[in-house]
Amino acid sequence: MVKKETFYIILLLIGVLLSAFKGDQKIQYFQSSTISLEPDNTKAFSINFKDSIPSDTLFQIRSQEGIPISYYRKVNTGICFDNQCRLLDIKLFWNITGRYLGFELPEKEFLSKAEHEPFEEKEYERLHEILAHSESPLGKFAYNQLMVATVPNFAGVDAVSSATSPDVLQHVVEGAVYTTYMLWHTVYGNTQDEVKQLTLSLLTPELVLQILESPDPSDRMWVVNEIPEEMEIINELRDKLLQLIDQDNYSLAERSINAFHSIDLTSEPLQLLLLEKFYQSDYSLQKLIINKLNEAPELSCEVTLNLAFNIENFSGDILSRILDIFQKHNVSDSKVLQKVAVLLDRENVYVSKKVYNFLKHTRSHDKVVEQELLMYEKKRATQ
Amino acid sequence: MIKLERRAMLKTMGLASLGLMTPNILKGEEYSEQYKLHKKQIKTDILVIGGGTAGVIAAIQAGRAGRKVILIENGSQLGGTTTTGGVNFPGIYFAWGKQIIGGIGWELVQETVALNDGTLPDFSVPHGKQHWHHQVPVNKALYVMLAEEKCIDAGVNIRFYETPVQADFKNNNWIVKTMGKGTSTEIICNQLIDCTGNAYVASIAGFDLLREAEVQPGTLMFELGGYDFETLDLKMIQNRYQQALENGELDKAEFRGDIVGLLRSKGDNIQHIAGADSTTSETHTVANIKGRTSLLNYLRFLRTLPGCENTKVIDMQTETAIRETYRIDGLYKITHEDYITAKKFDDGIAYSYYPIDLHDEHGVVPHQLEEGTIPMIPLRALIPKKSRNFLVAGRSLSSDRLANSALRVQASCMAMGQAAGAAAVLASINKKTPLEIPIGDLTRMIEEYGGIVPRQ
Repeated sequence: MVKKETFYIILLLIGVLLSAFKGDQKIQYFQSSTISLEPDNTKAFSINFKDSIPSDTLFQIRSQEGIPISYYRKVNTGICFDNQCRLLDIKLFWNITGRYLGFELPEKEFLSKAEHEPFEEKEYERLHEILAHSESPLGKFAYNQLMVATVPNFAGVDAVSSATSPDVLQHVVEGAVYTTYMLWHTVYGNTQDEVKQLTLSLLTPELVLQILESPDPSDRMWVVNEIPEEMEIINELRDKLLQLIDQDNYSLAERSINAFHSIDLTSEPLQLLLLEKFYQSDYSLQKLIINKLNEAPELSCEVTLNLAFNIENFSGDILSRILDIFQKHNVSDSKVLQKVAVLLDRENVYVSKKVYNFLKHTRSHDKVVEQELLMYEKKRATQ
Repeated sequence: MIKLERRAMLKTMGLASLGLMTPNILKGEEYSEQYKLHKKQIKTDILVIGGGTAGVIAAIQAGRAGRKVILIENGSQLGGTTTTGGVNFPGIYFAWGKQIIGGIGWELVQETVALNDGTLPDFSVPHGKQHWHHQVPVNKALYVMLAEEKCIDAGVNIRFYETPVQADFKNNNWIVKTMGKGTSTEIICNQLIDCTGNAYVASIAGFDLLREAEVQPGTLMFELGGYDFETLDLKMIQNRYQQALENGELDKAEFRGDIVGLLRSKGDNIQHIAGADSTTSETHTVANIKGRTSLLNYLRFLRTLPGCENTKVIDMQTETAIRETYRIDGLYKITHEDYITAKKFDDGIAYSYYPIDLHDEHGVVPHQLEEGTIPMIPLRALIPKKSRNFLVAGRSLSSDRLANSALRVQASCMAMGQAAGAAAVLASINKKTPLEIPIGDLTRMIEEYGGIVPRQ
């Protein structure tokens, strides 16, 4: 049985040990990154960021295979109060897609608010949450809107106790408006653009595929949007992009359709796969897919025939686009034109007129088509 | 020879004396026909009045469905608030990650963005309180041209600079008289769609209208430049502004008492003109003059402020854009409660999605919808009581004021336009009034042309 006094001494020792342990731990907050490989080496890039932070180096953390995993920048700036200044020393991290990843303080370092009061854990969490919010209204505030009263001597100092503008308060860590503001604008400023550019310079179809597996949807959206025209869309990437053409996520689907360029559409298998997607999609995506097929240097016969044989099922602008595609690719196959000619009989004058104009343009000598055109002209003459 | 010379001389003298009285004749000009009003009568299937956000879509829908369509617009271009009004960020087409308004309106918006090499917002990212992140900025000039091109392609007969002055229902047709520049036209149509935004034609036709004592303010859209906002002494500016208000130099309500907001936004959707009304020439003249006078007063004031001495007007719309005027007394009035609870209607013909967005003299505090809420618009809200062969589409639909503050926005107007156009087509083909069209037929047609209809 432990005596009461001994029990309290043990508790005290545990408390001291814990606080000592916590004091030695680095304070760090991170989100999940796209690439989960082990970091192996770091490459430094000297960049003119055109901001107020002295450090002009961007560090790229890579895997053993040379794949970029993340980036970081050391942020050192002064926090001053009554001519006593304290250095803010923090590392900001970015994902390879430019998304905010996290921050890390050196050992024994801490962030402070007004009157140099240290951040509590909930304030670090709040800061991390704010920095992760790319659409934060903080981005719309100018520097001179942060405080209610103008700061007399030092700009950019949290330790001066002026009142934070009420409009700004909900978007910052209370008591640390300048720290929050400065860090947020650093995350989403020029450094982010540089991160993206560096990743883009290393972009390969394989890396694109890895990024498309990211748990974060914004990463997938970013990379789909950035696939350069000159990149070869290998089969695996093609299939992945097609998978993303899903009406459950219009935005990602739209960007995925857009990722295919004219040169990719020389592939008949791709055209056929897009056509398959066309029939599975809603109207909005169908429009995009049909417009994409129109970019093909040459339209596959199978695609042409398929569209023609289903043409009676289409209306309005989609029908119009299909006829435009046929016209652009000088489609003159009799089977196709005969199928189209059936629409001359439609009650809908808009449709029959479009079809008539298209068929006249083809100058087809097919007897069936010629007969249909003649009947249409007679019918129009009597109306 | 002398005779000839004499004759020639006399002729010349005659011509000369005539020339003295009418000098221009001698230069080869001719008197043209005396000005007279050109009168004509035209027959059509569907007449759409108002070439704004809803009217364009209604007309294209009707044209693509094969009907003869006339579109009357009293201004010089199509697009309404989206173009002439300068509120060129239509929305909202997506709700909770899914598209809920598509069809012809979305087609127009998407193509305008694409032709401008723009990028659509990422609709999969929730907008939170910042619903404007899901609105789609469009190039106004491109929108005007594409809207016009699509109308022409659909066979729509566009008539600019005309306004209706009379509308009578006889023998199952509407006879609408319009006046234009040098024209007086009688249009006989089977179906009539009022897309004026002010229920103007509904009023002319004798149907009841509703209007609150206070209506939402209008806004003249403009862009300021010539200063660096980040370097301005905002405290000093606010003090000087306060003095100007107290002296009566400026009207507080015109910029919501927010001089910093005006400077930061550079004029983007910040002005409030109380009582702005585009229903008649006279009321719209007043709204336009008020908008411009307000801007000029504020411009002069801004240029007295340190840091703002070179403030300039970079761009300005030609009209004050209007939010609210009149609404029809429809077969069903959508209430605020209906909207925020997404009440289901058997005759639902379109979705709508926007926060409750009532602007008043203090500004606007949008009330976002609860997660998963997608309001619905019933066909009956587009039909005035006691009417036949008549529909409205746009902000003058039948609704209470709060519901209207959300329903009036452009994406919803486009959806209503397509639904009204389709209803008019089916009614015209079947020789019925829109209310008699089976709702299943109507929703099938809307979907056939890419529109999205509520699922029951």
